[in-house]
Amino acid sequence: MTEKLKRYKSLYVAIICFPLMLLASCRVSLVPAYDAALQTQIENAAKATDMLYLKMMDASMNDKEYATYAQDYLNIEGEINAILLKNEIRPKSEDIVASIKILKDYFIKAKEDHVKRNVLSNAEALIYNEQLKALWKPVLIEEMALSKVR
Amino acid sequence: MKFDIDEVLTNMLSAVKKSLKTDWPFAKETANNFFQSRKERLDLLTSLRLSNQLSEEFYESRILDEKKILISELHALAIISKVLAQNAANAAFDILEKALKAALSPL
Repeated sequence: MTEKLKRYKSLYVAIICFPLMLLASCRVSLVPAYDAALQTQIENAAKATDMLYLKMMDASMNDKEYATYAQDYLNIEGEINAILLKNEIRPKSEDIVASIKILKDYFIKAKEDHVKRNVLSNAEALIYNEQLKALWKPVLIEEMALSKVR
Repeated sequence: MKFDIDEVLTNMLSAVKKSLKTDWPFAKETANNFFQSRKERLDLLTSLRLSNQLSEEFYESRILDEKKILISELHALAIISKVLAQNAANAAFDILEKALKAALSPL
């Protein structure tokens, strides 16, 4: 029996090690794959949001009306929707989707406030811009973090 | 054919530590950045309210919105934590895989 064991030692070791090999070959995947194009899209949309409020603050009182910025609002909202949609179909992107939904809700609220009151003061535009920057930042950082996956 | 499980486990632990040490600064800097930005925004909000450039209603609504910003930041920190964990786990599995390949190579 001992002789037989010795003869087939390599085979037994291989049989034991094979499942371990399979386990070791597995890659843990907790987050979606990094998407450089999506990062660029996020950066561009964040820049467009910043530009919207910078233009508003720079404008004279007559040019602060909602109608002047309606197209910019629509373009940015469309970009947010596109970024959200791309993430909704990505596996393991629940945290990213949650951040974008918070951003989207806030942006719509800021837009509706502008529609309702027609003109925002510079102080109000400044605060909306700062809080929107603060909401774009986690979305961008989330995508940047994915580039650090090794 | 040699497979020293103690040595492999020690090497796996070292790989995990090294991976976490590499990734930790990004997590720490991000958390500090969020904290600093929040402080600056609250300072700005308060100074604009005190100088009467913002109405009480607008000010209170934006303070409530800070909670939503915090939730979004926590989601970003969750993603960073997952990246840290993924990198560390895969570094450990790489060590195990190499050790097993070396042990099985004479077969």
